[in-house]
Amino acid sequence: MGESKLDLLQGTLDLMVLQTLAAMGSLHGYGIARRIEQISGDEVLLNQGTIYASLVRLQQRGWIDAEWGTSENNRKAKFYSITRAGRKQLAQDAAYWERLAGVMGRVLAMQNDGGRD
Amino acid sequence: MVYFFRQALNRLHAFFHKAPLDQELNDEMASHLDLAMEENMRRGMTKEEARRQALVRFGGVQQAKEQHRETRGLPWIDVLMQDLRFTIRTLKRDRGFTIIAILILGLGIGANVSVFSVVNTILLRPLPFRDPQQLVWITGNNGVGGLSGLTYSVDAFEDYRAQNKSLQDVTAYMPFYGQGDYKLTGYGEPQPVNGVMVAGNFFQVLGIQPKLGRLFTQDELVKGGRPAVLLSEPFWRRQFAGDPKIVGQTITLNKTPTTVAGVIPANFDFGSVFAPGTQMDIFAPAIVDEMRDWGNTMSLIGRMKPGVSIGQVQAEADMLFPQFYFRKTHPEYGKGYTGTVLGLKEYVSGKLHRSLVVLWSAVGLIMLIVCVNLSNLLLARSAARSKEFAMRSVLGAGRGRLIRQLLTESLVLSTGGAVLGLGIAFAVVTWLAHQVSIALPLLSSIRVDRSALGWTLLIAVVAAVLFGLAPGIKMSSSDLQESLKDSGLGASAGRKHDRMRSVLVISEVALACILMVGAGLLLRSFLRVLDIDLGFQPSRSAAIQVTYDDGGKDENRGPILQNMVDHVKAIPRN
Repeated sequence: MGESKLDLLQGTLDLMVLQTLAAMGSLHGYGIARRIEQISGDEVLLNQGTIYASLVRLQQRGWIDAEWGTSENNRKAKFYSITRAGRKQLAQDAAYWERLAGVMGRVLAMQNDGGRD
Repeated sequence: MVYFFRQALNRLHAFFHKAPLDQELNDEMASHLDLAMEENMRRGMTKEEARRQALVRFGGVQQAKEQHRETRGLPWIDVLMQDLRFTIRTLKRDRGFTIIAILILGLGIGANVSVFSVVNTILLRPLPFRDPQQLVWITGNNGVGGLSGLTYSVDAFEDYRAQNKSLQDVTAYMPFYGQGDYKLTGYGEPQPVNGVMVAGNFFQVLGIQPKLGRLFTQDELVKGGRPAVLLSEPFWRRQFAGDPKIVGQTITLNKTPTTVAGVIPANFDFGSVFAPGTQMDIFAPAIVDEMRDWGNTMSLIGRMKPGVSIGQVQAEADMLFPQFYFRKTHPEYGKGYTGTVLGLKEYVSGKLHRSLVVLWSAVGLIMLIVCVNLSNLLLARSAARSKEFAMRSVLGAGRGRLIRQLLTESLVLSTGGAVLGLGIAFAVVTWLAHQVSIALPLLSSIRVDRSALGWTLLIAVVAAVLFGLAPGIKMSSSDLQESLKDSGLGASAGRKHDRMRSVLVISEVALACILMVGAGLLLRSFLRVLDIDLGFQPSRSAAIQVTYDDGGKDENRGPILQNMVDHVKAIPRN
C-alpha cells in the first residue's frame, strides 16, 4: 500500500506536528496523526505510532506542553498544545522550508535550453 | 541553543524515571487505539475489523515504544549498562579466571605506575624551585674525579660572581660535610645534627622563602658575626615539635649559642636534590672570610638571565675560569680553573637517566607480557564460548554489538586491574618516599599524582584494547555454522585458531626471555660487586658514630679514642 506514498524527510514530522498544534489548539496524539493524514490527503506514509517519538522530543525541548484530559466522547487522553517557544521555532522552521521549497521549485523548473541564455 | 540543554536535562530525568514514563506511554497508546477503534466502528466496521485497522495504521506498537524510549532517554547508557550487567554475570561465573586476570593485571599496572611515578619525579617533573629551567650547575674538571677537583675556592667563586655577565647571580654551598657534623646540646643527650654551610644568597637564588622567620642577614655572614642557623622543616618538627616560638631563640650547636633565624619549608629537601640518600637538618651560613685558605670548598649554582642559553654561559665560563687564582693573595699557588655548565635538572637526574629508562622499558615489557598472557587466556575462553556467541548472533546481535561486549569485558577486567594496580603503586610509592637511605634524588617528593593517574588510565585502556582485540578478531572471523554444529571446528578454522595462539605464546616466551636475560645479567654484576674482598667480614662488623668532647685540642683526641677502644675490648665476648 505504501509504494505510492511519500516517505517523510527527517525532521519534517516535527514541523507538521507543531503546525497542526498551532492551527488546531490542544489535541491528543491520535487527533494530531489523523489531522496530518487528512491534510496531506493520505499521501504521506505515516505509521501513527511514530508520532510519539516526535511528541516526546518536542516536549523535552519545551516547544509543546502535555496534559491529561478527557476527549469529546469521554475518553481519557493526553492533550498537547504548543508553547510560546514552540511558536517561535515554528516560525523559523516554516520560513526555512518555504525558502527551500522555493529554491527547489526554481531548480526543478529549469528548462533544457542547450546551455544558451 | 537553550532547547538543547533543556532536552539534555529532560533526557537525563527520563533516564532515571523509566517505570512511570513507560506506564504513561502505555496508557497513551492504549487511548490512541481506543480512539481509532471508536472512529472505525462509527464508520460501520465490525469490532474485530476496527481493531485490526487501528493496529495497522498505528504500525508496530513495540517499535513505536522503542523509538519513543530511544528519543526520550539515554539509549547508549542503557546499552552500556546491559553490557556491564552481562559482563559482571559472566565474570562471576568464571571466578577463577576473573581473579587471575585481575591479579596479573594489577601487578603489571602497579609496577608500571610505581616506576612511572619515579620517572616522572626524577626525569619529567621540573625541580621544585622558582623558574628551575634558569638554574645551572657549574663544575670543575669536566665533572669527573674527586670533590676537590669539582669545587672552587672562595676567591674563584667571588671573582666569577663579580665578572660574569650571563647570570643573574651565582651561589654556592660547601659540599665537604659529614654525618652529624654538628652537635646539639641542651635537649637531653647531645644530638648529632646534619648541617651544610651555604652562601648568604643561596635561598634567594633558588627562590625559596622561609616558612617561618627570615633568611640570614649581613651581620650573620661576616667573620666574628652573630652565629645563626636555619632549620629544615622535618628537623624542626622532630626536634622542636614544630614550635614556632623557637624562631629567634638561641640553641647550642657545637657549644656555640646560635640564633635560630628561621625554618626552611619541607618542599625544599637539600639532600634529595644535591646529595641523594642524606637528609639535611640545618643550614649554616658560609662565612667566606674564614674559608679563603681552606682550598676548593665551593660547589657553584647559577641562575641564568632570561633569554640566555647554557651555551652562552659555557662560552663565558671558558673565558673566565682559566683566569681565576686559587688564592689571590698567594699568586704563587697558581691559577686556572675550568668550568663545565650543566642544567641543574640535568645534573641532578643525568646520571640516572639511562638506568631509569631501562627500568621503564622493563616494566613496559612486563605489561606487554601481561597483555599477551591475558589475550591467550581470553582466547582459550572464547573458544569455549564460541557457541554462545554464535547463538547470540543467530538471535540477532550484530557483529558490532558482540565485539563491543568483548571489549566491555576486557575493560571491566582492566579497570579492576587498574584499581588493584593503583593500590599497589600507592603502597610502593609511599614506602619509597619514606626511604631516606635510598640514594635516589628527589625521592622524598615521589608520589602518585595526577599524571600518574592519567598514565594508569592510559595503560588500562590500551591493555584492554590489546588483549580484547585477539578474541574479537577471532570471533568476528569465525564461521557461524561451524560454531553451532556440535562436532564443531572444521579443519581450517582450527588451524587458524591454533596459529594465533602459537603467535601469542611465542611472543610471550620471547618477551619473557628478554627480561630474564636482562635480569640475569644485572644479578651477575651485582654478585660480582658483592664478591669484592673488603679485607674484613662486613657481616660481623659495625660502624658506630660517637660524640665526644676533645676540648678543641687535637692532642686530647688520641687518649680519648684509646680509652674508648679499651672499654670496648673490656666487654666480655660470648
